[in-house]
Amino acid sequence: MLVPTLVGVTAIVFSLMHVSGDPIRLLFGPNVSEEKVLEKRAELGLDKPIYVQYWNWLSQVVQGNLGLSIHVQDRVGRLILDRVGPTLELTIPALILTVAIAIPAGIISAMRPYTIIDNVSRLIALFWVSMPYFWLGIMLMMVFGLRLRILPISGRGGPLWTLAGLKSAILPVLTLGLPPIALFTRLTRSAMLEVMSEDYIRTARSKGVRETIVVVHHGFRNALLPVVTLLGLRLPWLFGGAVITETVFAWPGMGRLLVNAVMERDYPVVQGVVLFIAVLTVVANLVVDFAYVFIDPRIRYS
Amino acid sequence: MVTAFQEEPDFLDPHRTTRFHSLVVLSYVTEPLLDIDPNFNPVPLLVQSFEWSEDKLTLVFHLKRGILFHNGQEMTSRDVKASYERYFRLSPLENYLGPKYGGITEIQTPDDYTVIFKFANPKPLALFHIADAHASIMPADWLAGMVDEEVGVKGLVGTGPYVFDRWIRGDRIVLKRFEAYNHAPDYMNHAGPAYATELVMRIIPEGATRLAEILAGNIDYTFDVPLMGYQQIAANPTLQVKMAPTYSVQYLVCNMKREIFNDKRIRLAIAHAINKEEIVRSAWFGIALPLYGLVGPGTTGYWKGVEEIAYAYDLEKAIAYLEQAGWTTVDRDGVRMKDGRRLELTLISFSNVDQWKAAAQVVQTQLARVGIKVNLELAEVGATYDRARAANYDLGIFRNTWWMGQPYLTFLTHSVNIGSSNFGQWKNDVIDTLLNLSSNALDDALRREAFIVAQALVVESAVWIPLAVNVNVMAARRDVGGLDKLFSHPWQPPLMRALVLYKQ
Repeated sequence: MLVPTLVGVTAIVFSLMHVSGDPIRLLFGPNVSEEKVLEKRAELGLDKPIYVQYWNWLSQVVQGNLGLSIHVQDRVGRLILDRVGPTLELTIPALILTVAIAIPAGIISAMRPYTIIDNVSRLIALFWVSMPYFWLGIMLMMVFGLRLRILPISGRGGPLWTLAGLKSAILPVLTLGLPPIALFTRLTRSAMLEVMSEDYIRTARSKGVRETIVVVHHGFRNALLPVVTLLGLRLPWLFGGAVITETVFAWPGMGRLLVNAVMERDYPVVQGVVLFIAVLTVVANLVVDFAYVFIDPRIRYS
Repeated sequence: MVTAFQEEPDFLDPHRTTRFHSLVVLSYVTEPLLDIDPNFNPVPLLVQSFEWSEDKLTLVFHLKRGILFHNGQEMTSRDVKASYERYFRLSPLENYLGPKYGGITEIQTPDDYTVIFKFANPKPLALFHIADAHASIMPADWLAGMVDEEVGVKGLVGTGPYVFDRWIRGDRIVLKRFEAYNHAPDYMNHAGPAYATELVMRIIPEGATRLAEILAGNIDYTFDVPLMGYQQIAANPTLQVKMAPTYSVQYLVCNMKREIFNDKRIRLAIAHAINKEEIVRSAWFGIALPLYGLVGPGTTGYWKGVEEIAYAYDLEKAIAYLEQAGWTTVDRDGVRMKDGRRLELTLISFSNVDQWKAAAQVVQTQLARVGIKVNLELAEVGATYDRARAANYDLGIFRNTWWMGQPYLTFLTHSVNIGSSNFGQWKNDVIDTLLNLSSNALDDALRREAFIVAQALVVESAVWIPLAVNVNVMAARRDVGGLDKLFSHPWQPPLMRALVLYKQ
């Protein structure tokens, strides 16, 4: 299914991009004569019918060439490679942060349902999920960057393994990682509540198995399936980047690359990024499918 | 020195780019032969002197000796020839000097320090175009070794006060001081090298983030000041703010392909119903100036007389014109009617800039006061330009930016640009003739006079209704010096920023 999916996705995006906006007009601005615009359009093959343009692009891609950006005149492959690293520097730590807080919180809530611990956990989760990323980012920036001056306000200080890089990533990682905690906490809690009421849990307890083993081994492992599904859905986001957070923190990631390319009708870049994300989505789904087998040995694929 | 940009340059090739922010960065690195002084006169930059022949068909440049490129090579006439040939071949903006436009048909280089431009026809505005940063000089040998698309992407070599060091896309551009720079024009009172050893240009697209960085003192200076934070910046004792009108103008335009505007009284009614001061206050937080002609005060050839002839805000006059045109009855929504038809117009503009969006909303409110219902149809730049070129609108709010008045007014109003940048979609033979004269007449006085009359006729037509001229706002830390000197020039050119600003 990989090939038809990729061809379908890129063909749809390619067609939609041509609905409005002229990349050459956007590149040149208003003060350029029609003659020059037509010349450039012909030079880049944009005067050809859409299906011919799409075929030309596809032929290039098959040979491993994603083409040249119309807007910044650089190789699309290089642009993507330059941006994917900074994006992963934000999205992977953010996902780890989300999971590291949400799963224990979900389990604890499920173990003590409707107690003060559960209520507080739900309240905190609701607090983070109610905040738009944009607002949360600005608030963190104002408090830690402008007021307390202990962290950089914006920009990427360098690779994550350097002190400057690490410090500059903290606020965007918090902005990306805190709001989804609610979703993962609630999902873990409800899955755990369901599993913990199963007969095999009662059996394990009646056999005198330690509560920790009952919860982690028998309960959590079985409650993991929906959580893994949700994690799988977020994997493409790891590479696709987070437009709002990247914009607020002036972070040079994939999200900004894609949005700028859409605004400029930079077809080769949009196509390249979409193809990249589509491939990762398909791969991520495959990884999730394998994870199911690992978590629940009853699942088998022929 | 750290500065902040709202927008990232596309690529750093003077001959190919049309982007303002690209040109700003380029002006630190590459230079044209001439510069424009604070009185709008072309003055030598890379040349010692220049002279015209009697018939204005030959222009001789004597190059300054000892001017070095960043790769250590001395600039010679060969480099000028190679750069101009490339400029004519590639620049989308080149439409005056090149051989295709009856301009320079031959470039002679009799020796290393003399360049002779031979013109097919006299080009009286040639010196202004030669002073344009797009016509910058780069080394011939270096250019010969590069594919066109690689210039400004893989590297850049010029004669400017800063050397291109690195560009981390989406994050920053870093320039290093060129120690051998020593040829800035006299009016700058500092021949070079630049004071700051390194210039870091950070790309910060979000206004709130830029504001926080400015307030925290992390940005030494910037011209991309978020207007919503102006009061906070102005009230901050660690910062200083300077302002000056720029050449970026916003205007409302009537699409003359729509029958309703053939009645001039409708256009006059709209012109009188527009309160420019209110638009400046509401949309630009007061940090802009009302615009009276289509050419702004920071532009070459600006004629101050437009302030006298512009249609003043006068609701009574606006209503009177509408009534004379037969729009006498008003429906229960307060919209004027004629022969059972409501006076309802579409207004297009860009949705991606808050000020344009707000200006469109204020215009909508102002026209409602006289009974004209305006339906706003705001979209992002690409979609809006598509509609504009297809003439699919009644009214539009657009912006244009150029420091050279004559070509700028030609783009906006000459009939050859209908379908591209003449959004009035209107052919007026008198305006066309005047614009041609203002470009080609050999007599300086006649050329100037033609341009003045053209500006007057454009205002008088009420096809284009000027709204506001942007103000260049610069915020800088208190320890940044040279601001007064910089603002002695009407448009604070980037080359001057590079040379006169310093940190105490």
